[in-house]
Amino acid sequence: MKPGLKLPRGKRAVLLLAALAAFALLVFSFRWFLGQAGSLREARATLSRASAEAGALAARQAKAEAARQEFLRAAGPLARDAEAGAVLRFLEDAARASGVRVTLAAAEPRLEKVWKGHFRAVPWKLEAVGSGPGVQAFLARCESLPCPGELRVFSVQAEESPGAAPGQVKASCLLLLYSTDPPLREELLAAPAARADVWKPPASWSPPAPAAPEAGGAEAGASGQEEPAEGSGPR
Amino acid sequence: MRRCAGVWRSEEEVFGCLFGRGPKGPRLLKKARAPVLLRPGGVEDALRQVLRALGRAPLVVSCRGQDLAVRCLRVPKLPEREVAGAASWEMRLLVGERRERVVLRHAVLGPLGDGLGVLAAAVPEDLVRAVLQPLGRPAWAVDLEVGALWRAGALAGVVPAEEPVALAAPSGPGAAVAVGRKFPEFALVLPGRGPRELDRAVGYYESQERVKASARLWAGPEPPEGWGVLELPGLEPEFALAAGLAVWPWLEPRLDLMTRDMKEGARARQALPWLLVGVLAASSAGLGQVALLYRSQAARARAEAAALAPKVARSQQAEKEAAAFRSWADLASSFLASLQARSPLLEAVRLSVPPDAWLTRVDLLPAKAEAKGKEGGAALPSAGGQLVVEGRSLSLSAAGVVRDGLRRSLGCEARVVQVSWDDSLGCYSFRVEAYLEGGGGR
Repeated sequence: MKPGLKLPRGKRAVLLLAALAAFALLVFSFRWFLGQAGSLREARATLSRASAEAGALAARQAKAEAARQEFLRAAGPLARDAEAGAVLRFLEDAARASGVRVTLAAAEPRLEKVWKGHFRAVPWKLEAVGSGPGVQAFLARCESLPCPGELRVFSVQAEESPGAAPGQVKASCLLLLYSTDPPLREELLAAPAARADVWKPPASWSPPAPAAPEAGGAEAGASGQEEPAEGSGPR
Repeated sequence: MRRCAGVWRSEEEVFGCLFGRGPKGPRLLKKARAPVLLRPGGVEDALRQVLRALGRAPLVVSCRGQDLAVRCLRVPKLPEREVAGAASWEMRLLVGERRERVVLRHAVLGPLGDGLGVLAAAVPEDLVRAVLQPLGRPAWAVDLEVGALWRAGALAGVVPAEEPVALAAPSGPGAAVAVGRKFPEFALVLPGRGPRELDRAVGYYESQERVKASARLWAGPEPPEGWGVLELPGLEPEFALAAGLAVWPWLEPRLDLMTRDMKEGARARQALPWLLVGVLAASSAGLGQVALLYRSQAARARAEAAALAPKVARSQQAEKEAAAFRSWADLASSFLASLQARSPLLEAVRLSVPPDAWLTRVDLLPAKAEAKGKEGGAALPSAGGQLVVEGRSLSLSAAGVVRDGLRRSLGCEARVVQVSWDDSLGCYSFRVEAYLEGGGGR
């Protein structure tokens, strides 16, 4: 303390100290008040946002459900597994409808994340024989299977061997079938009935005569069915 | 009241005494004096010095002046209220009509003959205010110097007495005189303090009362000729009036010339800083209360928000799911739209073949550049980019028809590679190529 400094004494000193204390208290209270007011404002804003979001729960859930339905509708064709047994059933149906015989259906290893990091593609090598219009219809049906697909390359060649019927053609192609990755839906084919001796060919089957022209036979094996083969002509 | 301070001011000095209540009457606790320097603020400085020496205690000061009127009245024995009216009427007659406000006070002293002795005073308010102004602190009371003089006499033990006693004290340039037995029966403020003036005043009392004053005592130093000194125990004579003021609470007679306004103003002036401090403190407390309220409200709001948190999380999750589903739906739609069907190429080829021609081979060959995966994905097998049509015809122009048909239907470049006559078949063989843009297809 400086010597000679005249300090307030007695009542004035007490009053001064009280005034300083009151002022300091006021400043502290004001700062505290401002802090609490800001905190309250923030808490109210948070509550308001939370209330709004909680209030929108039902609407958002409905919107999410609608979006899910929209997605299922849009992605429905892609939901099916392109490696499933049903694919062979679709190919068999397409061949039967087109009057051709599928002589080869081979699935190659699948390709994943083929488009923007999504979807999977299963390459199928197909070979079929039949009339020209039939093969053309078969190829068109291959691109309209329940599984979305597209032909990458194909080759159609007329059968010009001496025993071949005029207009008979042989087609080979590479068909890509697409699905989501992983597939949303799995459909499994079931055997219609189990036979006691599965090593014994069905009675309806008879091997073709040696002189008969080659007409396939891979279809029955590829389809995974144990249905009897329907003759040897193109279907 | 346990303690009281009295301050009296002469022309040259300020005197102060502090008395307390003792078992045998008022007891001197402190005394102080300070010279009045002849400079601006000299009086205030001296007063402050004395007051500081006396410490905190209720303060009684005296008032003097030419406009001050003091009288000892003799009124009939009346009720107190009527005594007040009579005293007031008497003093108004004495001071006459005045513009300024006048403070009228009286004190009933006791029975005097067949009536009552009353000490009455009429003092202009401004005079009282002028006394209070330099103090710098509120006063408890303002009394007359005559009253202080008589109380000093009582403190010295010379009054009350059976025989009249004359007391006098300096009062500014003049003197205050009080004569009486049990209480002042005659009081006067003289403009001068010479022995003749004093004796004339005492003589007037003596002639009126037909008695002789037994003693003439001067409360102060240097008594006039023929006057003794009023001796106070433990005090110099010049402290007599200060002591008389300091014993105001315990000895009679006493008047208080301060009006209610003065007391309240003093109290207000004294309370104002504290009031401000109080306002500050109250404001602080109010802000604190509001802040506490805000804090509790904020806590409640946060608790409510926390209670809503699971719902909010579900809501946000639902929104994210909706966005994801929409995105996936768009993705699936755009992917499906990007697929290219190439089987229609065969129909285009069929429609291009004229009647005199037939096909032997149609190949959709991969484009020369290796096709990559669709938009950055895994590599896909190359898509067909070149359509090769081979056949036979009976005319040379059939190959041109095929070429033009492909050009028309596919809208792409096409060319006839070769047409040749085959002797073994008896017809033409031709080869036509079409170059599809972007892998062909619809």
